[in-house]
Amino acid sequence: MGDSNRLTLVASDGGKFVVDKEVVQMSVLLKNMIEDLGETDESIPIPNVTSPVLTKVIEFCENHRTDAARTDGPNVDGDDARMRTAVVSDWDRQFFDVDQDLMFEIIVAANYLDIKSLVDVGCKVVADMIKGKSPQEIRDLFDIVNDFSPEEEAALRKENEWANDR
Amino acid sequence: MPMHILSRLWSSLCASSTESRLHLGWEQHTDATASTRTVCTLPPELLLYIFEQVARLDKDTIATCTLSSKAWRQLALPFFLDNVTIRVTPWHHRVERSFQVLLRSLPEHSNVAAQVKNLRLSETSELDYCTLLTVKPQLPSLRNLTLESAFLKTLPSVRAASVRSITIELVERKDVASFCEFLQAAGANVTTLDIWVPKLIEVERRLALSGDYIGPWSAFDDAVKACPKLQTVRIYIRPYTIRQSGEGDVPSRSEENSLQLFASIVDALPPTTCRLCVYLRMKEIGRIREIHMWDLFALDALSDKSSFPRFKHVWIKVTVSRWSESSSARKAVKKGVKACLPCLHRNKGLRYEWTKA
Repeated sequence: MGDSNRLTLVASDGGKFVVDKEVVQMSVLLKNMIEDLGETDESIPIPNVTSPVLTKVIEFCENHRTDAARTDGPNVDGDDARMRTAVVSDWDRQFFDVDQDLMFEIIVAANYLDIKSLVDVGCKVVADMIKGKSPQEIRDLFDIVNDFSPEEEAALRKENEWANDR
Repeated sequence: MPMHILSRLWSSLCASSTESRLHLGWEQHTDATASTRTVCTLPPELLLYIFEQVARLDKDTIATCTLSSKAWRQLALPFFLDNVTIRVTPWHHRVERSFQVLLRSLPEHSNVAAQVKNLRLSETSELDYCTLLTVKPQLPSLRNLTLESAFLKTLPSVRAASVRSITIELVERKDVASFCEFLQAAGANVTTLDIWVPKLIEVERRLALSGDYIGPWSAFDDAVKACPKLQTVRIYIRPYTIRQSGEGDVPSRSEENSLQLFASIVDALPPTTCRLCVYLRMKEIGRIREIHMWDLFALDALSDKSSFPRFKHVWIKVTVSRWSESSSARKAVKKGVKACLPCLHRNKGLRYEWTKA
């Protein structure tokens, strides 16, 4: 390779991705690995992430590399505040305009690779999908099996109403 | 790259992926052809994070999530029940919620009641503290008790309570005595007291116009001693109005009374109490722009360094309206505070917190 600013990531299905180190380092897991390794030309295996998912993860990191520079450093409070207030951008919403299978795979991969901003955006997109829906609409949306009996559901509704006193 | 480092990296990645599989339920996703990922196969930690986001967006939707499936209910319920407030008021628009109804319905909803953190009681003519404290064992998570226009009648003989925060409006002198006795019985874990006394002050003013007035707070000394964890006391005495120009009313004898009352309370506070705030509320009525300043003259008691050395700073909490969002309006507020409280400004650090109305 010879370029010390770039690294090769290998997906679980063997797909190879040459990526800027700066981009790779948005993953806390990989950043720590790279720091442990020092200068290296070897490729880094990502055993739990497939090529289609890794492609999307890299696309996100490429797009958000400047954000990472801005929020660099162990400022937990600041990070927390950002996560509480940030609205999902149009680009991020477009990014997650994929089928559910891939969307959840991206979120799980981001969690594994410890890319906080991607986990954050992904979970917010899912939360937006849920917002305003009825229990049945949520079940239909995510193919969730209703394992409550009608009596149980009625009792829980009553209990919720009792507590949801605003 | 040396081989031993590469093998360390590989085993490290494999180890972390194994850990992830165990923790996150990744068994069926170890290769590219794994089965479909659905919301049901998401690791619980991610579902929890999603529910946290939902709860921030919309309280009604997190309630809906708890009805979607048993697994979702288990994970979403803590977010739904976080910060549950039960309001007791006869004219509530959704459910009948008189205190007697609350008493009857608690056993039926014991699971949810166990999570209730806030209890607000309005129009509580049917309530006395003995009755109130019979509810407490059924609300083990109760942290904040707000008594709005509460009638303070009989007193409990109970041990330490779980309540951390109490808000109360005191109207008559006997309310103060009852409340102080209540604190002695149930104040062991109280850290915050919000006490509204504007009506009380008016009543007291009519009763005692002499300069020797010290208020009904002599009982407060013993009461706060029963609250060893008390950290914050906010006492809302009376509004003081200044115009945008910064000019205000001239202090009169009655304000001096307020000062004495405030100082007597402050003197009675335990050493752990070290933060005091002035509350400013700004509003706009037509072209008249006013800043309502609470407790200003009373707080001026703090301007004496030697009397209150532990209050190094005084927080000026300002609720801003549209007109006061600009930096020039904020400067005007600071100028007004400085003009009204020159001693305080000189002797103590003033720190501002701005919140939108």
